[in-house]
Amino acid sequence: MTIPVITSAIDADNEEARPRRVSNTANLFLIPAGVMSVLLIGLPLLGLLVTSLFEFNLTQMAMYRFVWLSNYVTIVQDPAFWHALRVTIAFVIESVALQIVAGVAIALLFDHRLPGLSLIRTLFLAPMMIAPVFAGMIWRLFLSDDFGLAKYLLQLAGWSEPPLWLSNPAFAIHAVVIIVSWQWIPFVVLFCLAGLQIIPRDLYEAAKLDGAGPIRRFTAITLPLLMPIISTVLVFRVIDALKVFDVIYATTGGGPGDSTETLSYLVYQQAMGFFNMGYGAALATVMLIVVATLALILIKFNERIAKGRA
Amino acid sequence: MISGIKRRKTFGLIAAATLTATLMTSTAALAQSKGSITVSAVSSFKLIEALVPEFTAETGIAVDLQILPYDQLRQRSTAEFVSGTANSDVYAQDIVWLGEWSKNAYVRPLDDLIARDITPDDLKDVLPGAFDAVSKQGGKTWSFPVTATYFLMYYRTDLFKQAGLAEPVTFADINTAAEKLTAKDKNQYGIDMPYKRGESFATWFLAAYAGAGGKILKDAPTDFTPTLDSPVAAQVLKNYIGWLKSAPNGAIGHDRPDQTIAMQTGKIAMAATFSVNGTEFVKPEVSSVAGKVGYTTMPRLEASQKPVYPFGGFGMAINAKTEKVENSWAFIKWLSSAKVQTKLALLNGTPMRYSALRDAAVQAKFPWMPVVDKAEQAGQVSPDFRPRYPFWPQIVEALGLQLNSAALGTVTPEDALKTANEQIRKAIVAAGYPVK
Repeated sequence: MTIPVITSAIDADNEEARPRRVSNTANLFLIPAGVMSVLLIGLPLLGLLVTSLFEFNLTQMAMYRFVWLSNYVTIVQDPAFWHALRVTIAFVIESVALQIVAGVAIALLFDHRLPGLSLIRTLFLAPMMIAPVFAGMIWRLFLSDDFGLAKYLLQLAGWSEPPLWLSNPAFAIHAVVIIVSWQWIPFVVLFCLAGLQIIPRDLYEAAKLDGAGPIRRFTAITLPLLMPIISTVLVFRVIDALKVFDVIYATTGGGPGDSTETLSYLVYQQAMGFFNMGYGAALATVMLIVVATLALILIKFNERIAKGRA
Repeated sequence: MISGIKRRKTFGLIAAATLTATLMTSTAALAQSKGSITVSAVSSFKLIEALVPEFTAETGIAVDLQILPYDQLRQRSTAEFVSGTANSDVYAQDIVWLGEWSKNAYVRPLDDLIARDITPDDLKDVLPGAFDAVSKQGGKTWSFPVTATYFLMYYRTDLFKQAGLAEPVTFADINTAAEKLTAKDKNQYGIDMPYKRGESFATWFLAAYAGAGGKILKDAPTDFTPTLDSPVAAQVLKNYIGWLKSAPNGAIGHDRPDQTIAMQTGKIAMAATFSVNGTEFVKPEVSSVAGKVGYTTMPRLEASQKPVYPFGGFGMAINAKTEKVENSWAFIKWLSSAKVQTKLALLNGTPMRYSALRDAAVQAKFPWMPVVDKAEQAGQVSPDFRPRYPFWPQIVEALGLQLNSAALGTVTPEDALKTANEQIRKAIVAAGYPVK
């Protein structure tokens, strides 16, 4: 809107040239954004792709040779990659499902005017403000079998030998899901609460007059009208969950065994542990493709929901 | 009016005097200043912070001491070395980084500076095992040792006495004592070791393996064949995992600090660990068992075997790209001097000089110093229990995962070691070292 106004003022006496000049001016305004995109996204991405085509290990300076797609072939043959992919997918499904369900439920609860609720709402956002690695450390202490508060409370409740939450392969990944969900449920709540507050109240009143109960009102009004918000949140949370690293690093270190070894952890291990930059870059590229593909699918899904609503 | 003028005059005089004094001080400071250096080191070097002002006062060289967690120091140093920058002039170098740093000449050889500035008598004071292990490779000296730490088996003398147990020597002794000293109802356990996946488990296991007479690389530097598929390695791992029965409930998730805390709080009767951690057991201000802690060598398979002292330590190395070589060397000389080493020994019990090791106050505080002294003189120090070559991270990863899996019971000890051995063999070959 602004651009035609500005250009028309500049070029008021030249009607024929206007469209062309509008276009040039617009392009000029786009240059900073374009340069920034190239510098901050394009170049690192190119660097990543190029590095992934080399055998390049920082611990052995002589080792730097072009190997075509050899690193990608190694990935396909690497059982650790397939294991990490399985762990990552399981983690994403479990953690995002928990965050969405709990987030919507808590948002519904917070959408009432109850005394003290505004204070609780504010405090509820606190986990989101903690650095994930620090959140992991807090939870590691909380779940410690030696001096953890969780064990103490469970023993008070009569459970004499609670499980080793972070040291038992059967529980570790679920414990990480809980920690990540604890941190990011407030994010879902925040969005859903905003969505709930713009749903017209008269819809509920009309439904009530028609005899609809709370469940019917939720499924027929709340959920459909909240769907665009939920699907947007879903995109954010899935992308973030796919990249989970900090909490795992701080709590389990990929263990016990390899039960919490995700793709991000594998990339970190190769690039920052072994300084195997070529293979690490190839793994990061594959991960980027997985994340981007999934994000595109979710965005399309989001658009369909938006269109359906319209 | 007159008093106002006087006041202004007085104020003016004071201001002029202050300005002159400031200028004089600044000029003097500039005259004394001999520049600055940046030193990057791991968390355990935090205690030298208090001593650094003494160095600056003595030499006029300002020191920017940057303390980083172990992983970050490794990442930062590697990034700087590869990019050829000298953001840090001096780096703390772990013994296991020696091969990588020397092979790529990331740091400057110190032989010429040592020959120029360190007298032969002074050099004789440096623990020979520590010096060779931490700093020397390929006929050159790449760093100067500043801390030396030895694996020992620490045990509770009071509990052993009560139970009528003698000092443990063999794996069988440890097994018997661990079982006998475990009273779960009293929250008392026989032993604790690191069992969590990662570097600690790999290091502690290799120390136990060395104690039993094992050596991970067959005959480096001529033959790098890994030996973890040997019967001795399997026997050691079975014992190590067997100790879980006498360890605290959550031991399967324990790392190095958990073991230290378990000993400090009196929860366990035995802990094999580096002497730098052992110092934490005998300090009354942080340990509830101070005065009740004995020490012995790492367990052996047979009492007739010679004891082995698995060794670890840090040196200080000069970035090959720095132009501040003299200032950096001055700092290293100061930190490794007999005077500073004795001061440090009283704080952390990890001296790398005989003079500090034999200091009466140091020996009174950390009674295992004479044992270390003897081991150094007898050449019983075993630095190669962890390979000091660039493929060490791959060993940690392969071994850490397989050992943890064996401890969890998802694979047998034999299979775990076989898998790790094969992965390590591949990593060694990929790194270009000879395997027969």
